[in-house]
Amino acid sequence: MKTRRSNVLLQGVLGLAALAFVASPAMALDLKGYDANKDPGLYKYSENFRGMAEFPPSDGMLEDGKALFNKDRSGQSCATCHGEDGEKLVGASTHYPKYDEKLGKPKLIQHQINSCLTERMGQEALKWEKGEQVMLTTYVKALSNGMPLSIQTDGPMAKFIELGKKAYDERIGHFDIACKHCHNTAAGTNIRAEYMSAPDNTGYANLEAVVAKLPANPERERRLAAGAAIGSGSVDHWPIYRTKWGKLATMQRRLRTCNKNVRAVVHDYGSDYYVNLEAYLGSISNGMEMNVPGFRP
Amino acid sequence: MSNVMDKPVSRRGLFSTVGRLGVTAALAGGVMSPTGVAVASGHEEKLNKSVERYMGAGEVTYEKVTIDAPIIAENGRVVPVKVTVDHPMTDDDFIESVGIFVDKNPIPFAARFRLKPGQAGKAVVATRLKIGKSSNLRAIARTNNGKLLGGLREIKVTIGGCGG
Amino acid sequence: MSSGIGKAKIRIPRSIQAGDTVEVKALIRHPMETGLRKNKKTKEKIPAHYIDEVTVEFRNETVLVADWGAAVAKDPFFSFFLQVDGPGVLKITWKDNKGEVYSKTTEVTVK
Ligand code: HEC
Ligand code: HEC
Repeated sequence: MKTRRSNVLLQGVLGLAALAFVASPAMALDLKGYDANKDPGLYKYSENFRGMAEFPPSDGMLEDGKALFNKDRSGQSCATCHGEDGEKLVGASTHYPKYDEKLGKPKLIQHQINSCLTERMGQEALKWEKGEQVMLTTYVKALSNGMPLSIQTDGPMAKFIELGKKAYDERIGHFDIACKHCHNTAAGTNIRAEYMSAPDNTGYANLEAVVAKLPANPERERRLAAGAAIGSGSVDHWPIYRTKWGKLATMQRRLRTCNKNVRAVVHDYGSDYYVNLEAYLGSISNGMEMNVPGFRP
Repeated sequence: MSNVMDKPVSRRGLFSTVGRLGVTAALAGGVMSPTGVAVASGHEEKLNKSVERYMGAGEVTYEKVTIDAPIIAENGRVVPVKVTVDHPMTDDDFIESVGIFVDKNPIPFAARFRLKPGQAGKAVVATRLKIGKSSNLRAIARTNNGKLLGGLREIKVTIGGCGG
Repeated sequence: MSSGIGKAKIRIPRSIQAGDTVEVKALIRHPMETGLRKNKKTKEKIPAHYIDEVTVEFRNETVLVADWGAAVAKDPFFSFFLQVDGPGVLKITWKDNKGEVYSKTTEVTVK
């Protein structure tokens, strides 16, 4: 018998209801946390790790994000414009990275929060990847939990997704290796004790094709037997709580780490390079349900 | 607090050979099923003392205690560990405490859970530990009669739990 | 700011009948610093800061006492079994090596 979060039974029902009632002010916001049972990226970890994911250390951290959202900042809070607990932002994060007319390029939730703070609230921008930014970003993303990721791929976004794809396929760094070499060619294998995930939304769909490409070895047998999924999304479950880091982190930190690992240039947080990469990664995860904050070793 | 909970663990013979033999025997074989390599002697001493300090002196019989933990921990910083003791929890025959030790951690003692008969329906406890490097994990249960039961489990850690 | 020391989450199955033995799971927010780690930048040792004692009371009776070392992971988790004879308050109290004490309670309902 599993111990369940109190709202879990209602989740399915509210998941549907949320879409229909976004505009209804009468409807109290039911914030859904991370649901390990809906995370196709967990298969590759031990049963014990998956057990932890049902009650991860991040449980309860959305409440910190909510408090920051409702926090008074010189007479205003985020809730002043976005409704109590951010109820008017339900669904908003499914479109991020999102094209910004003024900037003429896509932006992250972090950019948007900073512009609300500086341009509309007379506050200072939040420091990149510090606790407050990560908590608020996680909270705003989690407001869309259960809704499908829907990043725009046409119109003005097409160009930036293309740039992201180019960056993804390009060999970089001292190791002269591209994202795709680790995450697609080597997907499902071990690199320095870490299972490589393929950040796309293919899920179980092309499992056989991908496994067929793996060299015949016990690992391949094990994965086939486990019915492993390959494409386990990315933007849909980030920010995550990573046990190695012991805290919540956004995908910006992940991407910088991936650059560092191959001794490539590490760009600034929120730079065009990473925004385009996130846009591309998001575009190939479109359709996956938002499930934030994810949980990884 | 009940009597049971207050009862201090016996510190008699903190350095006695009895306790030491208990743990050493586990590594050498005997009643128990050793799974790991013996730790360096200085450290073994530390481990023995630690077990004695928290569980009391006495020979450990390695049976009836099962440790559920990953064979290879994804990350040593957070390793889920569940200990199940196959023993009654009745008022006159129960598990008084369950201790968990990581043989190769700089400080082997990880946790001790003091249980109460009647209120704890089963002698099953779980937690999550930091494990610095591949090591034996040792769970020791003490019955209300002072008998020590133990379980051993080897855990491989590729990404350690104690670094910066 | 994000440490959130003092917060905790308790999970208990929802539908309990008197006499049931249920698994209680708890998660406490705490850095659980071992005292062996160094700050990467300053190279100075980070002082030990960990929970060393956890007490669980149910219906005003102590049902479990846990003694912890610094090896318990950050944002610690623990679970144990509890025999529920009737409804009541479950209270978890934890103390760390700096002497700070916090607690969290939850209502256990019985059908
Ligand atoms: C004074 C009103 C105001 C306040 C206060 C405010 N915002 Fe906004 N926010 C807006 C407006 C207007 C927009 C529409 C986009 C734009 O023009 O920037 C917006 C857009 C957003 C969006 C994107 C919505 C979408 O559909 O793309 C997010 C996310 C957001 N705000 C988060 C926050 C957070 C978090 C805070 C608190 C730190 C905050 N906002 C405070 C006015 C506000
Ligand atoms: C040397 C191999 C390597 C390269 C090259 C690499 N990564 Fe990673 N990446 C990793 C490892 C290891 C992880 C953690 C394990 C995992 O989830 O795949 C990871 C994780 C990720 C994740 C999180 C996956 C998830 O579901 O949580 C994303 C997204 C990602 N990388 C994107 C990129 C991008 C974009 C690039 C190119 C700029 C890149 N990586 C290059 C090794 C690599």
